[in-house]
Amino acid sequence: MKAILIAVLTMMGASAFAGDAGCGLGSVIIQKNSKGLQLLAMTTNGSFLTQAFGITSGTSNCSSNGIVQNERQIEYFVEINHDDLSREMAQGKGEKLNTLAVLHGCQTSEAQSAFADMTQTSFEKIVPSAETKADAMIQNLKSEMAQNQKVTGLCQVASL
Amino acid sequence: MHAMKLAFFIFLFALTAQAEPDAFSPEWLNLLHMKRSIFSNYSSDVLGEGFFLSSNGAQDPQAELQATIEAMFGGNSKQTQTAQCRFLARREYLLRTGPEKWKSQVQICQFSEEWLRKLNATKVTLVFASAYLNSAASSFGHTFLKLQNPENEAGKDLLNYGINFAARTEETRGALYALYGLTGFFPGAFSMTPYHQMIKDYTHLEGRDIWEYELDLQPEEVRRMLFHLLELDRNYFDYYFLDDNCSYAILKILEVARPGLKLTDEEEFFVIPLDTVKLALPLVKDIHFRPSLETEWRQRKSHLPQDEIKKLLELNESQDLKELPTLSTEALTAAQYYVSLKGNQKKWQDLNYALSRERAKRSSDSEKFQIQRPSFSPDEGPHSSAVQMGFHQQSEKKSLLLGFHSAFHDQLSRNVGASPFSHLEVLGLQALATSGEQILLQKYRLLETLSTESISQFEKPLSWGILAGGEASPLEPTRMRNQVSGRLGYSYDFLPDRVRASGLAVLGLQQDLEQNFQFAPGLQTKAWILWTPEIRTLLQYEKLFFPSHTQVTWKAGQAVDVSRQLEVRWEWRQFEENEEMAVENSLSLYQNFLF
Repeated sequence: MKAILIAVLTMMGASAFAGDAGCGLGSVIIQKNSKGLQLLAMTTNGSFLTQAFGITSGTSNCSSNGIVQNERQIEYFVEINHDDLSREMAQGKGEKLNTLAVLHGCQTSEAQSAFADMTQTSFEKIVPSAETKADAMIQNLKSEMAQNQKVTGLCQVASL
Repeated sequence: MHAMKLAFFIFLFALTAQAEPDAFSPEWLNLLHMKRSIFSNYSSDVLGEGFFLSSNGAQDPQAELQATIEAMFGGNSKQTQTAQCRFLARREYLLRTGPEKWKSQVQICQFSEEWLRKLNATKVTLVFASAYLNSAASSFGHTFLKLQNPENEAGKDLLNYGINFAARTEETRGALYALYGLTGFFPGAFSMTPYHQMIKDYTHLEGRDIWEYELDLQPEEVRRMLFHLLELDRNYFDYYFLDDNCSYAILKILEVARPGLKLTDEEEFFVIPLDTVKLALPLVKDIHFRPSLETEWRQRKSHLPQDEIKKLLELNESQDLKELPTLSTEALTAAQYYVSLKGNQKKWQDLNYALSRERAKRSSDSEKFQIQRPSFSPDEGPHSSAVQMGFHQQSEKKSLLLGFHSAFHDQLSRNVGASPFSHLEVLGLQALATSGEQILLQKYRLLETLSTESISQFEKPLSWGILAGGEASPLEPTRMRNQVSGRLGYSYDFLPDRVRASGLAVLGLQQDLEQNFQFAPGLQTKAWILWTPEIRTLLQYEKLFFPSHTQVTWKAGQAVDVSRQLEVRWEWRQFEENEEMAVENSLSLYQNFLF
């Protein structure tokens, strides 16, 4: 019976998102589902992954045994969330922006909102074009932070 | 009385504490992922190598227990270290239930301890990615886990880790890939990814809202679960779409985390992610909602005045950036989400950037709008199976109506927990019992789906569905008319999420009066009215063109919820074929339950 059901279900076709998480800039590939595939995507029980649990399977570029190395956290986070961060910087607020602030040593809510204000004011410097990649965004953010006394005072920039 | 009970439990506890580890205890069987077949044979779902120490371990829990005890506490020091560190959860179980002297043989497992220290997870959240809007097939969602490090509490929740169970493959494209995944050809495995990455896959790429159910697990229970996940690393399971899936796997590891907890049954046929959430509810402390990009856009759009919508439409058409400064901040923000949904094409990326640049010039607090959490969380929806009982009447003939529906959310079901105005049913039966006659199968479904989404000025999504099943014609109740068909068309909301109408083309094979399969195209129009979430109406007209004649069906249905899991439904159908006509009526109760 199960076989019949599964055969029927397969008629619907399915293809789902596949994301590969490595590290090292540019190695994170997230594919947007094409419209056609979305129409048929059957993801009731989850997507298909290409990544192993990764605990004993060694070290990738910026995580070891599945855990992101502390010094690579910013890189990994920006690589994955670069579009959302760009949007939230423009809005001057957001959960991802706050996470980025914490990763830059801005622990208090006052420090986080100073960080968010700075990213909004300096948006065009941090994200100078639609093509700005994650690594450039990180570098630009660092130099903007260094020039902003309020933020340097509130956040422990030294932790960079 | 309480003292008596307490004494009894202490006695029981003392008894179990002294007992030898039991190879047939649920705890040990769970650690081996053993299932018992109807012939009482055991077999494990784990496929990978190295998971069993006994050559017969995958079928014999007793042999595996003996081999594990021998390897861990048998005295061979090199083997001891390897076995103990390879199977931390098994070791924990043996130390807890076995003789005291084993404790002196405990080895240090530096690698795992270092890993656990870095991960530092003390809490677990069950995460439910809800139905993807225009896909009835995704109606029952997806579940995964979030491991919480207490150090991540202040603003770093996204840096926690997610544990996912999914089919695993190197291949990612093509029809075979889909087929293999659903038929269990691919192995399933657990994977761990940063949580921000995991929710991005679901909230952004697939447009699903995320519900987080914080579980009341103690740190040592979380530790036990992680011990077990480490044991499973590099091992695989059969991945079947219906049963050995993400939900089943996650329920199993929750059972391992808390010995004595029973969330799954021996022989599960369906395990649906939404049901996982319901089964785990006794463990839930708190519920949080994370909107998808799609929800951000929809909610924000619905609060914009008409003239702003008009400007956005013009922008969408012309991509002319000159008008950007005239947009309100609210409209700019809404548009940011809309464009983000569009993907990576250069044209959209450029527009997205222009919107962001303009938005950065406005104040961060100039919007008052706050995203609303939906009034019901998915666990408050009807359960995924239903039994139906009622009266059926056709002219003078009165019958008892009996039905069973599984993996079920139909077009009259309450719109909570599943895609609104959708239909998903995997295996359904409906029969008529008339006194003095045989019980007659009236309707059956192997599979029926329908996904609808309203078209808007911005988007023209297709509504679509498929059906494999059959229904007896009221003109000839003994004759089953089978069909395999698809539906494709558009839907429109006259009142957002309250009144929806669909026009669909029907294409496929239908059995005609002589029971020959014919290509009989047709049309279907339907309308839903939600008077309140509890009172729902569905009207439908369908016309099919057989080579020799036409068939017309009119339907009306009215559902009223008595409680969350109990519905009363009145259903009326008029059937016309070959200049004959029949009308039938039924009034039935639907009791929803967890299968």
